[in-house]
Amino acid sequence: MIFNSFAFVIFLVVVFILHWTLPVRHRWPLLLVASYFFYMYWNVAYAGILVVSTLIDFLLGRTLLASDYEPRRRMGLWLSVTSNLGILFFFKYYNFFQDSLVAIGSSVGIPVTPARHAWLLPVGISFYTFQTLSYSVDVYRRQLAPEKHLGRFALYVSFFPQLVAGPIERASALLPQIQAPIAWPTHVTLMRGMSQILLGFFKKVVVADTLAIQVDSIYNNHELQSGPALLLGTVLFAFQIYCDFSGYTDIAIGVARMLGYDLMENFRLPYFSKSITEFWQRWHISLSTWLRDYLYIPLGGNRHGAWNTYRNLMLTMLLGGLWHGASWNFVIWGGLNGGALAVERALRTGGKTTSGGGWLKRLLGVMYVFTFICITWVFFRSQTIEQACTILGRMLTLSGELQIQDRSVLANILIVLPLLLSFEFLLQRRMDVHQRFAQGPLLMQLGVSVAIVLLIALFGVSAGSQFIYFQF
Amino acid sequence: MRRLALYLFLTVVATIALDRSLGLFLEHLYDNSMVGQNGGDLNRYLARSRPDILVIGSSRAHHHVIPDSLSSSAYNLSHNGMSVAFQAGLVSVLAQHDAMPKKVLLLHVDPEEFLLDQAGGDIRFLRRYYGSVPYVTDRINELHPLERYAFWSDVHRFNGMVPGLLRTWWKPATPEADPDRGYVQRPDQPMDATRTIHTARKDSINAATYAVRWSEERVRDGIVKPVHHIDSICRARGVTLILFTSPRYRTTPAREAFDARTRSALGASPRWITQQPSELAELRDIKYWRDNVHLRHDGARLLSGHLAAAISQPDTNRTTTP
Repeated sequence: MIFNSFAFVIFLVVVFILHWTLPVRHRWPLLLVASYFFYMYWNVAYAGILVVSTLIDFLLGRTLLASDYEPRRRMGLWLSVTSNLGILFFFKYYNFFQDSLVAIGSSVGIPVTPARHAWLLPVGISFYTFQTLSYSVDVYRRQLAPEKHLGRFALYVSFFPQLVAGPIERASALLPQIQAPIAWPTHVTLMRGMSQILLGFFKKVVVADTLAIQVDSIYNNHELQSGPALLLGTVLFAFQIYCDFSGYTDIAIGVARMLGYDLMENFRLPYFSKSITEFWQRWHISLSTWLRDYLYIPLGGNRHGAWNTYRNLMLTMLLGGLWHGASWNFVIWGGLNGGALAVERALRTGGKTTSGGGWLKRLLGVMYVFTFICITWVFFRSQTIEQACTILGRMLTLSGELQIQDRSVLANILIVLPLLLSFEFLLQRRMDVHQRFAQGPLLMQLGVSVAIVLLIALFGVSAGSQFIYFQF
Repeated sequence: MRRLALYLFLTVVATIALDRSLGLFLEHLYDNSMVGQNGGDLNRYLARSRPDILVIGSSRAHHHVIPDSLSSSAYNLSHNGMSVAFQAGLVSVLAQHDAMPKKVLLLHVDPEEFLLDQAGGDIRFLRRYYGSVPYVTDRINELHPLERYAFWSDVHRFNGMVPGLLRTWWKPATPEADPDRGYVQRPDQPMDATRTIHTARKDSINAATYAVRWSEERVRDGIVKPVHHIDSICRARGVTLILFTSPRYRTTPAREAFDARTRSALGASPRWITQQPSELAELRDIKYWRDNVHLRHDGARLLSGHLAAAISQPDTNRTTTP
């Protein structure tokens, strides 16, 4: 089930009403059933993988990882890591490595017969695998007591607002909320949730999906596009992927809030960052902090000298790139970001946000980050490395004239994108818009809500498109 | 919770009120728009007298068929990028407005369209007629079980059209100010030859990739049905329906074989005119092409002449396979 569908709206209304009318002790079972229904709406059989993943980490947490005997605990961790990553590898990377093996074999004259499987990639597998993995590691590190209740643990893994595209919640943050009786929400809490849901829908259905039409028409015929057109397509893609993913996150956080749960923030106006280091503190925060805590720091972090730090940064971002998809394009995308992080660190500009300085310095910083990130998005959006290189080459030389194919779509973009940017500007000015909405007069709440609903009806792309991050 | 309920109730009431008002306003804009493919071209056609011959189809009809070449009373009401599902909806709108041509309806079809598993989603471009033209309403409802609920909103019927309507509604395009009768001549560009070679190569790779699949694929009932719907409307009004294909700069055996299968699947009626480069020797010259499937104006003139000749001939191409 996708958020931007009528089915989800109906599902949410039913779950919301049942959740707040049922006795407290029946709420978590309701959410568990709802979460599995939400997942099985896409594919019934693949819910089995979710069950297996849940059972493995729950049982390991209760047995080996809870042991006082260090070798048993190590064994538990090893089993959790290999089983979780094994499932992820099989579904997501097996075919990719087969293809790479065939390519390498043919380049050195050794014929390799590929043995690909035809299984679909389970939606959200990268997200819930990382979530269960972090639970096991936290239990192993004794930072978290093992969960004793299978049902509640299953809800932690499958909680539907964040199941298929995050935020990747830590067990230490979500499990206590599931264990504790949920407090009756205040009007302000509910309205905050409502405003975040509305904003998320606006970002996804109105902005991201409209941008997608223009971006797809440029990238799908990139061979025929001029440099300026490719540049326009790439800049629009930067906004598309931001609105798509942060729109999903807004809906997820808003829905969870209306059900009485707090999910972590996943985006903090990343395109206003003044360094790549800062960008990664503001973009997909749940993933970047996960990579920091469970990969970068265990690799040694910044504790063993400059070169080891650069190596660790690079490795973390390369694997972070590969997490996004089984393609060398994502690896390059991660590598570029890792390289930038290392260079910034070497130049001593990384590691902390550059909040000081005049407006010109801040502006230049923002422009540098946006330009660099747009270059990396070319690899992210392209199908092949060859395609990315062609696009970059033409884009950077700005060869040819700008020709717009879908003028009506561009006109839609010119109406809705400035609306969103104005809103983001308010957020940048540190105005808590959701809080103001929640605490504001009823007339203002009505005006904003009706305006957003009508904008969605008028400008929303109604074909029920997928969220980009569902594929990861 | 009570305040939330009050907020939700008032939001619903205010949304409905504003939605209805805005819907009326947009309907006014739409009905007065006489320019562009956001309904303007259709309104302009509806405002004029019925032609003898009407051409409908995608860009390959819009930019290929010059009405003057066919008859002094011909009109081109093609819409770029639209499939046969949209054309069936369009013909239903025309029939309801008593605006069918007097003699011949020329419908452009792309045989490849008949084997793709597409849901006919471009009928949504006629969503303005949801609720007023039953065929359009039914087909939109079939797209998704919940699709009909989106039309609780009046403004949804104008989804995605607002900038186009605002741009065109004030343009005073009278039905007479349409010298080419729907045909739009696109300016030639220096890149045309390069684009043609490039898209021909891409197209042949595509055809090679799908050749096996195409040979095994059956013609989709879902795509054939709209053609039969158009045929039934034409029969009821004594209009001759002629399907025509348009050539490619480079075609492949797999594509040509599929042309024949599609033609066979559509049955003896309606009449079918294929136009392959093999039948149009002049069009092998790249100077006539804009890309692998679109002609420049000079090419369109040649093709229109060929089409006019084919229409005037007796129906020797009629297939006998049901």
